Order: sequence, then C-alpha cells, then structure tokens
Amino acid sequence: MEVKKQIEQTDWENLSRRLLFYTSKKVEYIFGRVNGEILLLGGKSPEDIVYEAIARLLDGTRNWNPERVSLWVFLKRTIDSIISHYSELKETQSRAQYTTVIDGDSSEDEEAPQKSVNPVDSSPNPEEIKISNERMELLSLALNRLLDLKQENEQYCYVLMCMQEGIVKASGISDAAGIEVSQVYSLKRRIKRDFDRILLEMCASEIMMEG
Amino acid sequence: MNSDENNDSKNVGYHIAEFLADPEGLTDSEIREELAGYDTEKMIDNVKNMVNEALEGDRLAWQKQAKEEQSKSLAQIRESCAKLGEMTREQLINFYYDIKAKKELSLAFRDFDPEKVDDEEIKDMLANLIHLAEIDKSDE
Repeated sequence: MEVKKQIEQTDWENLSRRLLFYTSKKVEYIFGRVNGEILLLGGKSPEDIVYEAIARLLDGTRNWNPERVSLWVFLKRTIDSIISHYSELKETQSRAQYTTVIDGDSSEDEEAPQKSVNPVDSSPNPEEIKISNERMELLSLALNRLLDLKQENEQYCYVLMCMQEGIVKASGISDAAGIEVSQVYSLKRRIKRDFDRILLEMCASEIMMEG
Repeated sequence: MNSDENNDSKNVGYHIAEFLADPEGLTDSEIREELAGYDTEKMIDNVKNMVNEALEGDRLAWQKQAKEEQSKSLAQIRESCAKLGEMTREQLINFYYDIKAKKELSLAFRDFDPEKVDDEEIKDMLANLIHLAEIDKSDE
C-alpha cells in the first residue's frame, strides 16, 4: 500500500521531464548523434525508454522499496539498465558507479532478486556496441583536453578529477573537493558547455580527417 | 590501447555521461529548454495515463475482493444478530468486541473504520446491523 500511495502522490509531470532529460542526455553522451539525430537504441527513442522504465515499475518487473531509494533514483537506475543493454557497459558496471559515490544516502540499492530486466526481443546491435565504445574513448579524451585547457582553474579541475574517479553527485564532489554544492552546480553548467563544444570540435576534425 | 586502458576509458566515459546527464542542480526552465525538441506534453500525458491505468486496475481488483469479503462478513453478522435475543450479557459484550475486531466491516460503511471511532459510534453501527437483522427476520 505504501508503494501505491507514493506512486499516487508523485508529481509525474516533473519526474517525467527529469527522466526524459536524463535519458536523452545519457544516450547522446554514450552513443553520440548520427546525422545530427540521437541514436534509437533497438529502435527506441528516449521517450520509449522512459515509458519502459515506468512500465517495469508499474507491472512489478522491477521492485521498488521506497524506504531504501527514492523513485527518481529507482527509475534512473532502471533507465541505466535499459541503456546498458545496448553497450558493453553492463548493469553491474553501472551499479559500481553508485557504490563509489560519496553521498549522504549511500543506500541506493534496489531489492533483490529481480526478474530479468533485459528485453528478449531487442538484442544489442554490434554496431551500437562499437559506437558506444568509440564514444567512451572520445569522452575520455575530451576530459583530458579540458584538464589541460583549464589547469589554471583549480575548482574546475577538482570537479573534473572527481568525475574521473566516479564521484558524480554534487554532494559527493562538495565533500571530496571542499567546494560548496551551489558552486559545484555552477561549475557543472560551465563544464557541460565546454564539454559539448570540445566534443563537437573533435567530431568535426574526425570527419575532416576521414574526408 | 590495451584492455586495461580500454576499460579505464569506458569507466571514465560512463562517469562523464552520468555527471552531465543528471539534471541535478538545473532549474525547471533550464530542463525545459534542453527538451525543446521533444513533445513533452504528449509524453507527460502518456505517463499519467499509464500510471492511472495501473492504479485503476489495482483498485478494481481490490474492490472486488473487498466486496466479496464484505458480503461474507455481513452474512455472518446477520446470522449472529438473529440470535441476539437469546444472548447473555457476557455473550453480547463478546459479540460487540468480535464485531469491533472485524476489519472488513469498514467496507460495509465506506468511511467507517472501527479503529478510529469511539465505542458509542460502534454501538450505533451495531444497532444498525441489528436493525438489518430484524428486517431480515421480519421478512421470513
């Protein structure tokens, strides 16, 4: 009854937007864009992935314990699981990112055991795996480039180094780097803009070299 | 790139994606701006429909079960109420506590929860049930 009540009382408008943001950005960063468009994983758009995650909650495929983890985190993890199916980044690897997070609430695990969470009817395309592997390398190179470019900016580099180590929550970065959370958010905005710009430049120069 | 370096870059790449994709710290208007190419109103409607259908399906199953339990419970109560005239005081008081203990009675009177009301209200409810039982008796 507790789960049902929480589902009833959830602000689905706000949550849906955040989930779509997360999904579309995650897919874009992991797989890049093809001809300017976000890749459809197994034919699924980011919206489809959000629907699938929510469906898994509602039909009980994935059990949510509200006492252990928020609905936002639960659905984010479900989305990670769906996306990881299309890359070589297995769910166990993605879960490891959460256990290394220095966070106020480190109990972000779901109940076990779970039913199978991978759809049988849409196996990962080898092309998708290849794309994600190349993309991960590109992101890593972009990070190194940013570290070079911004070496004069101590706080900026601290945030980048935290990211490198898998500390990705603002509270964790704040603790690790001694920076106020509000400042972490501000740096995150700048880092995102700079990352996007560098990725564009790197992709453009790759295309020119291939040409 | 060897296998270890390959795994390192995959992990780092994943961390970067996780950090940049999380809307933590962004305002609502910033999130909406980034979602400009999406039909978010349609998506939100679809999500709300999914949730409502799931909850409604669950509610209907619960109501059906509740109605079945209610009928069974009322039948038992009517049977006992028909014998009230033959009960001793002790039996009457025990019967009262039996009735009070029956949680499914909250369904007979939709908003009635015996655990949330005082004894006078339970007696009133019991009186209603006895009245029902008397009507049943008079129909025989």
